[in-house]
Amino acid sequence: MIQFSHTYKTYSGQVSALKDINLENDKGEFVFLIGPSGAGKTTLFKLISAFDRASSGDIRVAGYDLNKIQSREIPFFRRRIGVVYQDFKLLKSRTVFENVALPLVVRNEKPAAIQARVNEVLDQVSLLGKRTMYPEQLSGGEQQRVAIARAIVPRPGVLIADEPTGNLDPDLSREIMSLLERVNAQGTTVFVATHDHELVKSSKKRVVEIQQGEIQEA
Amino acid sequence: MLGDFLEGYLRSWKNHSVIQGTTLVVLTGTFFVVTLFISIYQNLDQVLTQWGENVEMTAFLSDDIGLETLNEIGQKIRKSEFVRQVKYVSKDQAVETFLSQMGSFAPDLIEDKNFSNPLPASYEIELTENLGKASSFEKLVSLADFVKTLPGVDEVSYGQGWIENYSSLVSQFAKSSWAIVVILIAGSLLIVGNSIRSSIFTRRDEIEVMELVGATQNRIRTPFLLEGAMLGFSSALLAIFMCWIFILWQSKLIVSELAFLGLRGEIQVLSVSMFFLIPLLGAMVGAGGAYVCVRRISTGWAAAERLEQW
Ligand SMILES: Nc1ncnc2c1ncn2[C@@H]1O[C@H](COP(=O)(O)OP(=O)(O)OP(=O)(O)O)[C@@H](O)[C@H]1O
Ligand SMILES: [Mg+2]
Repeated sequence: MIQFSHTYKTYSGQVSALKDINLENDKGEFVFLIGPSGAGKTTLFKLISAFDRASSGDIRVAGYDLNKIQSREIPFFRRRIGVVYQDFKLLKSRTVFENVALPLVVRNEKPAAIQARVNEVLDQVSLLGKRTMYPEQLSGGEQQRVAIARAIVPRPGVLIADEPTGNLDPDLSREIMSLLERVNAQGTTVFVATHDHELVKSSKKRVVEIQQGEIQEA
Repeated sequence: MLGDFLEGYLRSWKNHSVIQGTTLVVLTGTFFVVTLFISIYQNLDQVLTQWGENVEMTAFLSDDIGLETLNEIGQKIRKSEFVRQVKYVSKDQAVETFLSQMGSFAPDLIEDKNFSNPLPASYEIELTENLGKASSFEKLVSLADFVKTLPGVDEVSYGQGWIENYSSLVSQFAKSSWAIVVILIAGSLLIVGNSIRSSIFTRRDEIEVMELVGATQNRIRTPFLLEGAMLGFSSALLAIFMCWIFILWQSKLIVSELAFLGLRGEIQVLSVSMFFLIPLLGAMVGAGGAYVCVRRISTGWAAAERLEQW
């Protein structure tokens, strides 16, 4: 489902953020990505989501070769994946509901279906009561949950989440993890970057470690 | 989709109402000038029609033609384009008319029994209104040329001199207006482009996120094109409205100041087709200006290229 082979990413010709990445995540697999700050986790996720291009090497995700993908295909590729960004990327001028509805709106789903699905997901992240508020009126943890809701609302085949529990207390973290596990149980391939070693240990999932841009499979 | 567009449009207004407002005002001014030129041109062009009966052609006939040739000439002229009616004026009638018009200047003439008629017989050709326009001068000339070639026709007259002067004046006006209009339209393209660029800039986060959640290029670009089209369209409508007021206000003055033109107070604001064409032109200019900017957004890699682009 996600496949890197000899992938490199170098920023502005100097910083070598990823070096010779070889990695394969199977369909339906749940994988953690751990590593210290600056190791390259976010960079790796940016390549998976076609947010940015690799400097060299191959990346295949959900049947798309991201090296050869055409501009015209990118939107359709992105509809297959859900992404929780480390910086959330919520729209300030839209309410919680509108933010979460956006992936469905761009897919031209019917308003009634959007309404129902968005409410269902907002309930799963315990934010139904704040659906008419704006991101800036929410706490960091609440914004993070809006970002998670937006990523899972279209039932993507691949879900990548960059520190989805970074701003949450242990109780909420566990709740979100169990939500991600439920999403995974429905067939979605899940890839989660995290600092939270407790969480990783207790879950007994596959763990990939990255150090200074290089993968060290545990 | 439409709801989204209206929402985004309102947001654009809210976020940079000054730029949008300025653009609207400048565009309205521009289209006002364009509309005014078109309107002046149409009125100048119409003046000949209003003088309808003056735009008449007379084919003077040789004295020595038989009845058959005479009829033949009449037939041929009658069948030509732009001819409404043909009337035969015999030598005697010509003299009669002449005497009744000019008799008072030369009373002796009427008394003169030996007066030998020097006036030729003629066909008076009444033209359709289509030809009564300054811009139709060439057609008028070619009709005259045709009539002149008919055997038995000596001379064709249609007030060549002043119609020619007038129509060259009108076409001169049209040419210089064109130059100005082209410059103004090029300017409006830039102005719309500038406004749309600022819309895009204030909504760049939205564009990026829309792309990341899988919005297609069209979905992202169309609202900006519509925004440009809307700016152009509404400016053009405002301009027509202002032009209308302006001309109504001025037309009384023009009619009385230029009474010698005999305009009979029939100054037209704009032809019906222009009422539709000018707003359409506005919308096209708006969308065109927007397109130049919009082409650069939503390439699929907005997030990655954002720093390079702005
Ligand atoms: N746009 C960029 N331009 C230049 N260097 C960058 C850019 N983005 C990231 N880097 C560098 O790439 C390296 C990896 O960064 P990345 O954001 O992937 O780390 P991370 O593992 O996600 O860290 P954290 O856990 O703190 O989020 C860092 O050294 C960073 O400075
Ligand atoms: Mg990171």
